[in-house]
Amino acid sequence: MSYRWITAAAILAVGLVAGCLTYFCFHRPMPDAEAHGHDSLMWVRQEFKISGEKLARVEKMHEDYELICADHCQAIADARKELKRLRDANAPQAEIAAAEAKAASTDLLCVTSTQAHIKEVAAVIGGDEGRRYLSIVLPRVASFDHAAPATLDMQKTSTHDDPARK
Amino acid sequence: MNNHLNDEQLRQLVRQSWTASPRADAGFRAAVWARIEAGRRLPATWSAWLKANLAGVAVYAAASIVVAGTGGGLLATNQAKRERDQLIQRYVASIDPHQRANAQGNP
Repeated sequence: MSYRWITAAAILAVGLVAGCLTYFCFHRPMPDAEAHGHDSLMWVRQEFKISGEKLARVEKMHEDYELICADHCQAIADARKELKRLRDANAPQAEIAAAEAKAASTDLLCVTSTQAHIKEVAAVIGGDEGRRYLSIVLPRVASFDHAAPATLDMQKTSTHDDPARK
Repeated sequence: MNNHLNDEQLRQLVRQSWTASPRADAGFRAAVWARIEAGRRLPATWSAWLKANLAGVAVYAAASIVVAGTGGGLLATNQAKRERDQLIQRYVASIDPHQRANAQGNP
């Protein structure tokens, strides 16, 4: 093998090492949620570096709200099922309209409740970090297209006021 | 099969009819000596060769480091962003009843 080829191989190897080094320097892996028992609050803890009394309050609020969220989830599911049942059965328009109104009011209640919870958590985090939390989380709830499966696409518009889509 | 008589006739015929007149290459001798000299000048070891070609090698090595380093950095940044987005989504899904309802497959 000529010196030229040996040198080319060496330069490639140096580049590879440099690439790996930069990758490991820049890559700060978030803790694996699977290893933390599906801890959904882990991101808040890590991102906003909250600890002590603040963390305890946020954790308590999160725990409490998860139960409320489950109730709301059930209410939404029930309202949607009822609406679907009426539509499938070709029920009178008045009944469908009443079910749609109920679904819309359930949706509105859930959205309002979720947004209030988010604002409370932001207040506990406080200061700039609280505002940052709000700016990250609120749009993901507000702009989430609830007629489709969960996504990270932030461009979707809210459909909360459109019960006909559900 | 050919016999000697035929071979001799063929030789005479070739001598009479085939005349090669190659053009003299004025640079041939110089080129041969240049190659011989180049072989003599080739460093005996790789390190000696590297020293002799340090500037070129350094430029290629620096370019390789810059390209690979940038690539590694971009890859790491993108991956960290993706992981963070997943964690945010998991958190939001845990407090948004609509996302829970959709995740459970309700119409």
